Amino acid sequence: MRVGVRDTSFGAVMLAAAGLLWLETGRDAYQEGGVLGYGFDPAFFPRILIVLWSAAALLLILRSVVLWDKDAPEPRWGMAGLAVALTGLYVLLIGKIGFLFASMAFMALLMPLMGYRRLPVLLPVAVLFPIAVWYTFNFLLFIPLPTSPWFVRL
Amino acid sequence: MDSLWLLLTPATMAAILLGTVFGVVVGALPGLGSVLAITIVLPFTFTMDPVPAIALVLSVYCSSVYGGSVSAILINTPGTPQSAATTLDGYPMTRRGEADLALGWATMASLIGGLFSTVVLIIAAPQLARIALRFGPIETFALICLALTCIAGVSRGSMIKGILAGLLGLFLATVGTDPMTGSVRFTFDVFALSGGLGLIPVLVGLFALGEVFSRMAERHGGTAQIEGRVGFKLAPLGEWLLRWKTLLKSSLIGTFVGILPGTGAATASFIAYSEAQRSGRYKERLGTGEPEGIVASESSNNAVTGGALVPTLALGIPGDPTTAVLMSALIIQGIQPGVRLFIDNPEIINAAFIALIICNLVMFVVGALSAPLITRVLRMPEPLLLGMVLVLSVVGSYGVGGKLFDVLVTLVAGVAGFFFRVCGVPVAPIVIGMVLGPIFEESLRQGLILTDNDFSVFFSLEHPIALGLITVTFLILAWSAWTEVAAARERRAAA
Repeated sequence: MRVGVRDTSFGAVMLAAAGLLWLETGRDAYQEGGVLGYGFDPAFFPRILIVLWSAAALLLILRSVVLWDKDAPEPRWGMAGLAVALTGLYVLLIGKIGFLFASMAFMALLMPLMGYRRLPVLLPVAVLFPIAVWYTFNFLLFIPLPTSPWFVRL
Repeated sequence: MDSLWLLLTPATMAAILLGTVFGVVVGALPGLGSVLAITIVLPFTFTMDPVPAIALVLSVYCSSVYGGSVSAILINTPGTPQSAATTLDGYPMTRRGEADLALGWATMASLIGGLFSTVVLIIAAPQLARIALRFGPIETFALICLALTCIAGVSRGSMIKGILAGLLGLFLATVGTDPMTGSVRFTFDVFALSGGLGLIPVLVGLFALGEVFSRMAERHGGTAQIEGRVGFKLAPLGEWLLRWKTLLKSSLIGTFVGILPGTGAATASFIAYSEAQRSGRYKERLGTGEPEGIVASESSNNAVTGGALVPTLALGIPGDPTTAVLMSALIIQGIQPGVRLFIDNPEIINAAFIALIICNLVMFVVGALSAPLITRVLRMPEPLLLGMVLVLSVVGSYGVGGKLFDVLVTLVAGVAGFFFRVCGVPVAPIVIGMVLGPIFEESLRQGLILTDNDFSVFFSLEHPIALGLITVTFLILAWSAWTEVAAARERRAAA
C-alpha cells in the first residue's frame, strides 16, 4: 500500500469518528448547564477537541494527497488477524475456564502459530509459565485471578 | 533520616534488586523497551506499600535504559532505541573480542550518567516546584499545551499524526463522568465506562499488546547469535580519566534533554555522540570500536532518567511515555505528582530520591554479574517471549481492578495500537494526552470561569508566564511544520 493511500484512509476514518462523536454530543444528556448555571456544559471541552481533531485529520488527508508518495511496509494481515482472534478467544476463555487453563491453552496454541514447534520446550513453558504467574498473583500479590468452574482455587 | 528508614526494609531492597534484574533483562531484549518493562511490573505494585512500589518502578526504569546497551554491544541490535548509538562502537569492540570490556565501559558510564542526573533532580525538582506553586489554572493550561506540542512535534512519524494522537488521548480522558457537572460522557450506555477508561488497561493494550501484534505481523523472527560466554571487565582508571570530559558533557546533555518534554533518551544519546565526534579526545576513532563512543551514548541516555523526572515530579507533567507510566504508578499509590508533592509527601519524595541513587548502584552490580544470564535470555526464541508478554499483559490489566472488562479494553487498545503502528501514528502522545487530559480540561474550564469566559485573557500580559508558554508553543508548532515541509521538499527533489 502507498503511504498516501494509507494516510488518507487513516485521516478519513478519524474524520468519520469525529463526526459520529460530534453527533453524540448533541444528545440531551450533554446539554445540562454548568454548576448552578455557571460554567460550561459537559460537551464544551470534548467539542473543542473534536474540532481540533477534525482539523488535524483534514490536514493529514491534504498532506498525503499533496506530498511525495512511497510504499509503506505491508504487514502480514492474516497473521495479525489470527493473533488478535486468538487473544480475543483467550480473554473470553479466562472468564469461562479460569486464568490458569485458558493461559496454558493460549500459550500452547500461540507459539506454534508463530512458528515455534519444539514440543520439549513449548509444552513445559506453556504449563509452567502460567502456573508461575498464577501463583505469584494469588499467593504473593494477593490478587485473585479468575478460577475455573471445576476447581475452587484453579 | 525517616526517608532512609522507609527504604531500608527487606521489601524495598527486594523490590529494587528484582526490579533491576527484570529491567536489565527486558531492556536487553530488542523491541521491548522501558515502557513495556514498567507496564509489566505495574500490577505488582497495586498491593505494595508506596515506597517499595516506587522503588520497584524506578529500578525498572533505570535498569531497562541500561539493559538496551547489552544487546547493542553483543548482537549489534539495541534493546531500546536509546542505545542505538552504542552499537556504533560497542559491536566493533565485540567483534575484536572485547565484549566484556565494552560492557564494562557501558555499565560504568550508565552508572555515572544516572547518578549525575539524580543529583540534578534532587537540586532542581524542589526549586521548579516552588516556582510552579505560583501557577494558576491559566498557566497550567499553557504549560500542558506546550508539553503536548513538544511531544507531538518530535514524535516518531509526522507532526500532524503526533498531534492527532495527542488529541485522541485527551479525548479518551473525557470518557466517563464529567468532573464538574457529574454527567456521564461518551459511555454509550455501557455502565462499566461511567468511571472512565482505565489508564493502565489502555496503556498495556497500546504498548504491550500492540507491540506483540505488530511483531507477529512483521516478517522477521529467530534468535540472536552470540558466540561463547560473555563476561564483564572494567577499564583501568587512567583510561577513564582520558575520557572524563566526554563523560561529563554527555551526562549534562542527557540531563538537559531529559528535562525537555518529548525528546527522550534516544535523542540525548545521538546528540552526545555527535558532540563526542566533534570534540572528543579520540574523535577520529569513533565508530571503529572506541570506548569514548560508548561513554557518550550510555552516560547521556541514563542521565535522561533523572532529568525526565524533574518535570514529572515537580509539575506533574510527564515528558515521555515512560515517565507517564511511572506517574500513573505513583497515582495508583495515592501520590499525585505536581507542585504539592514536595509539601504533602516530603518523606516519600526523599525516599524516591535515595531509591534512585540505590537503583543506579544496584544496576551497576547487576550489570556486572548478569552478563551471562542476559546472554542466555537473548538466545530465547521470540515466540516464547511474545507469548509470555501477552499473558503478563492480560493478567496485568485484570489485576488493576479484578474486572474482565479491563482486559477487554486492553484487547481493543491493543488492536488500535497495532493499527496505529501500521499507519505510522505514534502511540506515546495518546498515553500522555490521557494522563494530562483531566488536568487540562479542569484548568481550561477554571481559567474561563475566572476570566468570565474571555479566552483572550489567556494570551494577555495579565498572565505573562502563560503568554510566554503559549508563544513558545506556537513557535514549536511553526518550527515543526517548517522542518516537515522542508524535509518533504527534499525528498521530492531527490525522487
